[in-house]
Amino acid sequence: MDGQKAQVEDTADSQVPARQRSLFLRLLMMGGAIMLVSQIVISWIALKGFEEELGPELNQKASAVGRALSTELTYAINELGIPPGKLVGVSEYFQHILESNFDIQYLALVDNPSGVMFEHSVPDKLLDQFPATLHESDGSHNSHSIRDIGGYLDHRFPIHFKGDSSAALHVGVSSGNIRQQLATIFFEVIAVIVVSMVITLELLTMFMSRRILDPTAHLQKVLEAGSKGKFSYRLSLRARNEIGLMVSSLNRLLYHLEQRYQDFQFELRELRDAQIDPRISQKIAALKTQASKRYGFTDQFSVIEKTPALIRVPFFLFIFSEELSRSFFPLFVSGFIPVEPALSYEMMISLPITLFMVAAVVATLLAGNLTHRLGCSRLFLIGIGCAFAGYCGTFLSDNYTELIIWRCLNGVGYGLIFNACETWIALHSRAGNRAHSASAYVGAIFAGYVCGPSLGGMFADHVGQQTIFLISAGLSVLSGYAAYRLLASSSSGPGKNAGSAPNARVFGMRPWAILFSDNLFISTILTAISTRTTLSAFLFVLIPLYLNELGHSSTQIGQMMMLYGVIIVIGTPATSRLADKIGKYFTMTVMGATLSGLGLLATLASDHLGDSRAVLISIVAVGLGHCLILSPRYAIMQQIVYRYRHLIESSVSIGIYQFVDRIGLIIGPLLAAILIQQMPYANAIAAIGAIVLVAITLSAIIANVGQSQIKGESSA
Amino acid sequence: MFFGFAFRVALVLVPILVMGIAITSALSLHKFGQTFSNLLDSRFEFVTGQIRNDIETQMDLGLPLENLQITEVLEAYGLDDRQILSIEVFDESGLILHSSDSSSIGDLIPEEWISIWRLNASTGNPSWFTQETDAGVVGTPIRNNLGQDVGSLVLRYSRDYLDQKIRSQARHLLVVNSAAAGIAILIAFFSAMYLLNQVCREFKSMGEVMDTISSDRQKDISALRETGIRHPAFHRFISAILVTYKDMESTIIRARNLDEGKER
Repeated sequence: MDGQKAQVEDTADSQVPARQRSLFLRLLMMGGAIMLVSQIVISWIALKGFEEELGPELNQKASAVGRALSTELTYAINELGIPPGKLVGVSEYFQHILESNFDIQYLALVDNPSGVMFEHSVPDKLLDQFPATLHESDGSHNSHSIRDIGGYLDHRFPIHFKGDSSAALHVGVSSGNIRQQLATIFFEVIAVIVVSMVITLELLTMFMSRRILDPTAHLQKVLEAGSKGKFSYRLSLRARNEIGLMVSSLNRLLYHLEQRYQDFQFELRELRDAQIDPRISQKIAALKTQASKRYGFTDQFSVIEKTPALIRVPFFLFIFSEELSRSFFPLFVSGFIPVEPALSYEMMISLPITLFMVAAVVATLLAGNLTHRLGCSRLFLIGIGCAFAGYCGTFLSDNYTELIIWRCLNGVGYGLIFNACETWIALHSRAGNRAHSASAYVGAIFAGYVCGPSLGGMFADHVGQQTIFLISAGLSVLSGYAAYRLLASSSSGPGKNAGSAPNARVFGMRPWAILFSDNLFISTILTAISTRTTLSAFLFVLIPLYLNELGHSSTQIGQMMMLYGVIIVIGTPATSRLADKIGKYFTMTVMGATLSGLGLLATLASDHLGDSRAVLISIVAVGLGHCLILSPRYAIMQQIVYRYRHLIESSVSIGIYQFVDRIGLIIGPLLAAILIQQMPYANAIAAIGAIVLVAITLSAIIANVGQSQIKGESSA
Repeated sequence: MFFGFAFRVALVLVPILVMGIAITSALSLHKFGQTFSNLLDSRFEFVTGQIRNDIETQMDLGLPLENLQITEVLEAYGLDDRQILSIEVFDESGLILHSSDSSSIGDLIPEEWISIWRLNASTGNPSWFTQETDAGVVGTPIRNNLGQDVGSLVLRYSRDYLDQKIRSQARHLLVVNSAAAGIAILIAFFSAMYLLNQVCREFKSMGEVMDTISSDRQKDISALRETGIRHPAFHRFISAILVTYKDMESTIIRARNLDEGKER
């Protein structure tokens, strides 16, 4: 477990020369920086344009409010004959209007002799200026006029009393309001930039890896082998550029050397066979044997080694396709609910989501054996097939039952693909890069979570919600194509990339028994379940409800939730590298869980921090904590899979782990529901934090007991 | 046609950058549309709220919904604001009882409005919103003095105005972003070329060194000198190749010597 010296193995990742890696990083940073700067400039220009359009629209709103109120006041004064000074409840009415129209700053009724008679929220500095405006004539005596007073756009509506406009209604719009509207858009634009950057960097990383890292890693492998006297590798790369030409030269040189070697061997053989003195013949034979031992010439084209990171792009595309409908799915379901539903409205909305998860969990269990038989890439493609059919079916659905059936098929695809990806990572990672390999998987999930809902919501507004499922189907095909190109093995026998264990004889419930007798597995599961529970209870249930109660708009809630995903996407690669470097996976998961648990307790200090700030601190702490947990946790799981590979199929171990892991997703919402019935939201969040801390303490104790047992056994 | 590695890599940056800028522009425009639409909805929500107050005041006086005197009010609001297409009052069955456009009185409202209105009534929201192809719709339920929903008031406003604003922003963004994208692409392109050129030169030199060795022109380490290649593994590899050649030569000479009896 911890402290194990990482065994450096021959992976493409470790083969990349430092210079090439630095070039890759410089290119990535250059692309990212140019992208970021251009995005900021574009967004700033866009905001300026928005400001020009939103200002007049806010004035229109003020005009509408002013027209309606002045009509009512004119009616009361002229038709009902109540003098302006005798009107009752005007200030209260103004207050009521302002409370439901946040974009209006103030309302005031001003009369010639009396000055300001009724007002609400008028800034003190303006109170003295209103009476003066009654005498000003700007040619718009009978209609409403707008002027800038003390930083406010003041709309003045004359109110005629006995044929004279001695009174006026003032409706104020603050330029600060426009800025507030723009600030809202500004935060949304930041979210937009994040989404755009994540997609761009995903593509850049994929492209740079394919074009620079993979060929140079492979070249490095050939050069390193050659420098040790092994000239058996050739590079298969067809490209009409400097790399392609250099590879041709390399292959030519190796071919030339091999030809020379064949001639050399032939000549030695001839000399040996022609020699009649057996002693000399033996000496020549010895020279020949020594040479054969020194050099390796088997003339084989080396196959480019598959890396764990190859899964990232197909998996990202799939998660992206699945997440496109996330933002509107409950609303979409509501359109299918029959007039007389069999269950409550809320239940009918949540049923397709719940059954999707159930189908995914069941598929995860079945996927274990399927991966063994078919291989990761084929299982991925089968999962894509299910997902594609599910999306098309959802697009064509006419009723609630059909919708549920197709969504369950989607769930099956989801479960199969998750298992295929985790198995792929487990099989293609090595002892020294397990956490970093897992970060490709974790990063793809959260990049999809960050980008999908935003773009899906936008597309849905333009092309309709149902059409989004067609777009998802198209993306799933792209994902399948990427998987076919990147993951498929050149020799395609069943189970080729399934990590089949030839001696695996354990079936049925036996793998469960073996895994659950391992303390490390139990402690990992405890951490995993508590992480999932935090995610589903805190982030998916409590945050939206609590922030809504605190008066935040759904956009603000979405942005705060997005922060979690952004922290994971940015932080996971760094923490995974650190985890691989220090090799203390379990310690990192304990630290991460402790951080997230303590972060959740921040809501208890709401009185000092402020409610919203406390929630924000909790989200950041949970995000940072999960950064520390996610990749190392998968790394530990891969260690366990590797440890039992001779007894249990890797995919079966992963299937069992995923099944138990997902229990946290089911526990979370239930736990949240129970807690909020008993206590306020802030306390419910803190309670989940306390549960996480208890779980991680238990997990650490179990892991330590396991380690002591291992030490005891080895010393005995 | 030969395109250098640096050129090809730099070229691929172009569609990636364009895509990133296009996504940002599209999402920004979408957010603008949403904010603008919310402002419009908020304005017309206020208007419908005011008219509903008038209606409910009359109903409090005992007038049934169908006998209200509100046509003039509806027409006045319709005339006041050019963006308002129609204001209608319908009853529980969806029959239009009053309208700013008298020709629609007696018509039935679309089914969708009824379902949205009923759904909204069950949640107790003061207003409901929906979109039609050419119009935005803002509705508010009308309640009698017993708190029962007896119908709804619906205001339709032209989407042309919103679409026009979005189109104008889109044109503005297209011009500005094209310029920004052009500059970004040029910078990215030349930066990538600059970063990759050194590596490409090195690859080229490596190829030349290997060609020199394989063409038997030179079989010693001097082939590596003055090439400027700073690739340790390549140096080791070339050394190993040259040593192998040399080793084979010396082994053959030794074997020949043994064969000829010059060495024992």
